[in-house]
Formats: sequence, C-alpha cells, structure tokens
Amino acid sequence: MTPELLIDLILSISLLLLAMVTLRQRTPGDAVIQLMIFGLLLALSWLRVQAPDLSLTEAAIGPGVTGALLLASLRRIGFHRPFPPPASLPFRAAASLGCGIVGVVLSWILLQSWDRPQGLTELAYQHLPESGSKNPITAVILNYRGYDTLLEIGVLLVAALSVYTLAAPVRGKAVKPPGAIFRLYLRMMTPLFLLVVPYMVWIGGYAPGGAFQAGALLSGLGVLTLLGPRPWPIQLRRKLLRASLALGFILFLVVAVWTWRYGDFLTYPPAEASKWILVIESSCALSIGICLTVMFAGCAGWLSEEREGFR
Amino acid sequence: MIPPWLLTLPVALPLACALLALTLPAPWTGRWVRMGSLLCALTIFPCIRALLQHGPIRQNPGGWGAPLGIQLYLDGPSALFLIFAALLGVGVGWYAVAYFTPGKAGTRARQFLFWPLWFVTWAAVNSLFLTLDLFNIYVSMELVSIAGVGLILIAGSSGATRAALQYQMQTLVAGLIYLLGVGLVYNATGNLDLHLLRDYLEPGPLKNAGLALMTAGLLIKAALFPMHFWLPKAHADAPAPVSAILSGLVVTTAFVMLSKIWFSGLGVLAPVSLHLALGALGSAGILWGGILALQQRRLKRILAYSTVSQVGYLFLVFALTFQDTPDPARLWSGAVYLAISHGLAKGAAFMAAGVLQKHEGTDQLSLLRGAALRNPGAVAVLAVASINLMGLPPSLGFVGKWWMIKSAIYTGQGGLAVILLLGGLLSGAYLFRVFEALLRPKETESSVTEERPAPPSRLGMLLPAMLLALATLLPVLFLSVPNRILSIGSPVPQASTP
Repeated sequence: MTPELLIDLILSISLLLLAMVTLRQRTPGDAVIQLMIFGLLLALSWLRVQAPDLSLTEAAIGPGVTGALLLASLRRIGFHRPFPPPASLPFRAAASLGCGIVGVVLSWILLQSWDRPQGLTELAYQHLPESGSKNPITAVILNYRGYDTLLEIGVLLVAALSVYTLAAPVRGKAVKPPGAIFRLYLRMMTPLFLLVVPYMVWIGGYAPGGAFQAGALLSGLGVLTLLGPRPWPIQLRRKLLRASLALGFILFLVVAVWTWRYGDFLTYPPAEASKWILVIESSCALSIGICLTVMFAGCAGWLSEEREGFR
Repeated sequence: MIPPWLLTLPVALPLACALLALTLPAPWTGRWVRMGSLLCALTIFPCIRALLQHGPIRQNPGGWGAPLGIQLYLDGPSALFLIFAALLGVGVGWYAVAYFTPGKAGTRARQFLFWPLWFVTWAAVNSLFLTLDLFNIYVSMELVSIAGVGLILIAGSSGATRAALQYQMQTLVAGLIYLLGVGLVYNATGNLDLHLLRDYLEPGPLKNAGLALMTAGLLIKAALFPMHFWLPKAHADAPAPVSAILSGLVVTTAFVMLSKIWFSGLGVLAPVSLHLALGALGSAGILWGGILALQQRRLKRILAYSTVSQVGYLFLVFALTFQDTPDPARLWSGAVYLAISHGLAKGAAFMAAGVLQKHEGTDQLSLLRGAALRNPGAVAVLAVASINLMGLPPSLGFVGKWWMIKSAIYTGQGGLAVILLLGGLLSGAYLFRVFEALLRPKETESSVTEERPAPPSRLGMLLPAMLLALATLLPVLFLSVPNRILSIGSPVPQASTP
C-alpha cells in the first residue's frame, strides 16, 4: 500500500464519518462547527485530486465564509436550541431508499462509461497563449466564459440584496465588546489582509488563486472589522452601502460594454487580454468581498433600519 | 450590417437599469423605472428587425464561439419570447410604480429593493431565451430564482418569509439536479452547446441519464404536477407585482428552457414512454390544479392553482409532437402562443387582484362581495384576462388550445383532446366562482365603514394591467405577423400548405 493510497483512504473514510456526525448533531451550533471541519477536509481532498484552485476556494468559502454566515445566523436561531424532532421513521426510510436507488444507478452509469472523451481541456490549453492568462482556470472563468461570470456576480449581488430585505434586528442580544487580544489581532491582521488580497488577484493570472479566493479573503477582513471596535461598514449611510454593493458589478458591466468595440461582450484582443482580465478580476474580488460582508452583517441583524443597540 | 454585440443588449441594458435603480436616490426611482423599462423594451426592436432581414442570428460573447465559449442565438420563437418578456416587464414596472408608492416608513426600504431585483430578473430571463449553452442556462436560471426569493421577501409578512424559504429550497434543489444532468452530458460529449450537441445523438447511458436529470430539474421549476407543491404559497403570498412576475414570466421560462433543450435536438434521446409520461403529468396537472382552484377561498390562491393547471397544457406538446402530427409547425406555434398568452393574462389577473386587495383590504372571496360596484376597472381587467385563461375566442389562448386539440384528434390521441376540453371547463368553473362573488351585491351594507388609509390611485395600476390583458386578444386580428416571426429558424419543420 503506497502512502498516497493510505492518505486517500483515511481522507475518504473521515469525510463520510464527518458527514454522518454532522447530520447527527442535536443543536444547530454543534452542526455548524462540524460542517466547518468537514469543509476543511473537503478542501484537502480537492488537493488530492490535483485541483488546487478548487481547494483554495473550498477552504475560503466552505469553512470560512459559509461558516461565518451560518454562525451569524445562529444569533437569530439560537446556538443551543435543539433541532425539531426528525421526520417519522417510514418517511426517512422511504427518503433514504429513494436517494440510495438514485445514487446506485448514477454510480453504475458513471462506472459503465469510464472511458470518456477529454472534453474541452485540450482546446482550453491550446488557446491559452491568446487568453492573456497562464492559469487555464482563470482563462475559462474570465475569458472563454466571461459572460457566465458576469451573471454569477449578479447572482451574488442579488443574494446580498435578498439578505438585505430580511434585515430585521435581533432583539435582546447585545454584542460583547471585543477584548484586548482581538483588538491586537485585528490591528496586526488588517495590513496583512490588505497585502494578500491584491496578491491573490495578481497571482490568479499565473497560478492557483484569483478573484474568488481574493474576494473571500476580503470578506474575511470585512467580517473581522464588523466584529472589531469600529464596525464602520455598517455605520455607512444606507445609500452609500447600497452603492458599494453595486460597485464591483458596475465596474464589470462597464468593462463588458467597453469591450463592445473589440467585437462582442467581453472580447479582448490577445495583446491586451491580460490587462482586461486583471481589471475584471479586481472588480469581481471587490464585489465578492463587499457582498459577502454585507450578507454577514444582514445575517447577524446589523442592517435593520431601526438600529440595534450596537454597543 | 448587424453589430456583433446586438444580442447582448437585451441582457446588458436591464442589468444597467438594475444597478442605476439600486444607486439612484429615492425620488428618482419612480421616474427612472418608467423610463428604463421602456428603454429595455425598445431594445428588442433592432433585434427583431435584424431577424426579419437576415434570418436567425448567432453571436458569441467573449468572441470564442462554441464549443469553448458561449453562443447566443436569436430565432423566431426566442424573438417572440423576448417580446413577451418586454410586454410583461413594462407592464409590471409601470404597475409597480403605482403599487409601491405610498409605503409606510418601515417598509419603504424593503420595497425599494423591488426595482433592482425585477430588472435583474428581466435581464436573466432574456439571457435564458437567447443562450444556447447548457451551463449558461443554469447560471441564468439561478439568477432568476434567487431574485425570485428576494422578491417574495418584499412582502415582509411571516407567511411570505416561509413561502420564500420553501421556494428557495425547491429552486436550489431543482437547480442542482439540473446541474448534475449538465455535468453528465458534458462528461459524455465534451460539449455544452445545444446546436453542437446535435452531433452526439446516439443514445448512451450517460447522455440519457443527463437528459433525465436536466428534465427533472426543469419540471420542478416549471411546477408540473406533482412537483407543484411549492407554487401556490409562493405565488399567493407575494406582493401582487411579484406574483405577476413569478406566475406570468418565471414559470413560463422553465417550460421554454425544457422545450429548447428537447426540440433543438436532445429530445431524440428520450424514449417514447418519457414523451408520453410528460403528457400524462401535464394532463394530471390540468385536472388537479383545476380541482384545487375550485376549492380555494382566496382570489390569489385561485389564480396560483390556475397556474398549476395551465402549465399542464404546455406539457401536452411533448406527447403530441412524438406522434406524427400532420402539421407540427401549427402545434408548436400553438404551444408558444399558449405559453405567452397565459403569461400575459396571468400577469394581468394578478395585477387586478392586487388592486382589489389594496382597495378592499383582503382577497378573501367571501369578503369581496360586490367588489364589481366599487372597483369596476379591476373586475373588468380580471374578466378580459379570464377570457384568455378559459380559452374562449377571440383570445390567443383559444388559438393555442384549438391547434393543440386539432393535432390531438389528428394523431388519434382523443383522450388528450377530452382532457384539454375538461380543463377549459374547469377553468370556467373556478373563474365563474370568482365573478359570482365579485358581481353579487352585499346582502346588508354594513353601516360602519372602517377607516382605511387612502388607497392609491387606481388608474396607474389598472392601465398597464388592462393593456396586458388586451395584448392577449389583439394579436388574433393579425396572426400572420407572429406566425411569420415564429417560422424563422423554427426548430420544427414547416407545413408545406400555407
């Protein structure tokens, strides 16, 4: 048994076990913590199948941002309030039987037709020199299929707006003022974040990294700021907050319309492609960071019109 | 000479309007929304002109083209659907400006978010009508769905919040099922473009499973029986303009996507039994939705169940095309007209219901007695829309149902013809129940009329609603125009006889 196989086996088994443990937790708080651990292991397994980009994103989005959003929402639901009793046994049995059948059939079909064609991988590599990026993932996301990404950033904006519509305050739960250690941590980490986020955007053109990872990191900084002594992002005037939500998307759309002169939407001449990709990546990172930060504030109930007694 | 970016215009402009609506100061929004929605609707005209002059148009955002990039494709059916979205977009926009103005201070901020969400929905729906890329369909559909969740939440009531959560759950699951199907198809063919996929039509387990999963996902989104469980609550508890968008536009879009995927080629993969099963589900939906609509006590609930029933009609087309219809083009245009006319009529009906709800303070049928005396305009709109929902002449809905019944009889599927007629009878029954309540005067005028806040002016709401309702009647006068547009690049072979 090679050491690689051993690691893979341990990873797969612990993923399955962790998934079961997560499902069996009695309170939302415990379930969220388990889910975050599950996400970390999942990020590791992406590394094992040679998908470092996915791994980075999974680590940032899974345990990082999703965890923070879930924990913020728990302020409303209650960390220790037990889950409602599960559905009746026959219902659960029927549901698991249905899922089991679909799962078995799908796996059988996948195993049957293992020798599949290579897809578009070769074509994507072939056009890489003209795409303005040395990282094929970035080329796909921002050049070959930039139109998809434009709409995806739209999805994020719409999701943030939907959370915004829900922003009722959570009553009777004041936030504890941040302790001295947290203040020190924030003071030390802020410059580091401000350095790493642009680096992530930049490195996306050559190696694993890019707008999504950078945006997730930026939102990490946003969340830390919200928890710190001066949560200025939610003290902005509402109009300004809405405008900043839209900022990244506006930049993206302006670039898209600007490139009409080269042909269609988001078409760049090969010589200028890398420049445009960098501009779009920055706007995406900005949009992702701000939208996720606002979502966090909304989940925690800090966005309502009637201000909660915020410290 | 067509500019190479022409087809991105119907997507880019509503998106730009959404961003402006989000960032402009509040006093501007009303005026801006009216202007912007007109502008977005007008961009359709250059597209239609180019289509009439040059035939189907194919463009590539990103400049790569399929298979590496994404293709947009404008043909006759998608052009008609663009016009449909534009009509509904302008109608709902102008209606909502009047509907949302006099908000209380606490709800104003929420209502403000209607505009960006509605413009984004419009852009995403246009993108769906134009795209040929399976993954792009997924992204655009998620944009529509998540905007839908936000739109339902604008109501702010706890019932609406619960409905929104349920809607989100079903729509996310449906989207993921669809995406799994796309993954399998890509794995089998290395391709995502609907037109290029025509080269890979020999059946294989992966492709068949992929098609089945994509279909299942879209069926949930289209609320075909028995996957309709989420619809009535979501559509009845949302504010009226939102119900009009969801029931009129969004549900129709899911059907359009399914027919696009099936009729542009992949449908060949489906066994005959699957075609017939879709027809059977459609028939069951027609009857079940109609029967449940008969039992509802609230006007908006009746309209929501009516959507479940009317969606069923659309799915009969899958069972009918499989049989060798003598005139497939007629059948296909029948289905398109039915989809469009139902969307417009249902939008108008929900708008009228919104006016009634605002003025009467309720949409309980028992409390709406004699509303025709107090709100004649709203009841008139509802009546015109009902002509179409019942499938009476001279509406577009009649044309669609007529052509469908004819091909059902020609292909020897008399059972489907009977169900089509029964469905019409049922919709007559539940709609006449509504009018019976609205037209009957109150037995005892209550002496104390409680003070309500002054209701908003009705004209601003009724005019767009009436225009939408009339839009289902007028095209019948010059049906050759939509017929001509529809025949350009239609996926269905044209009849040889004029």
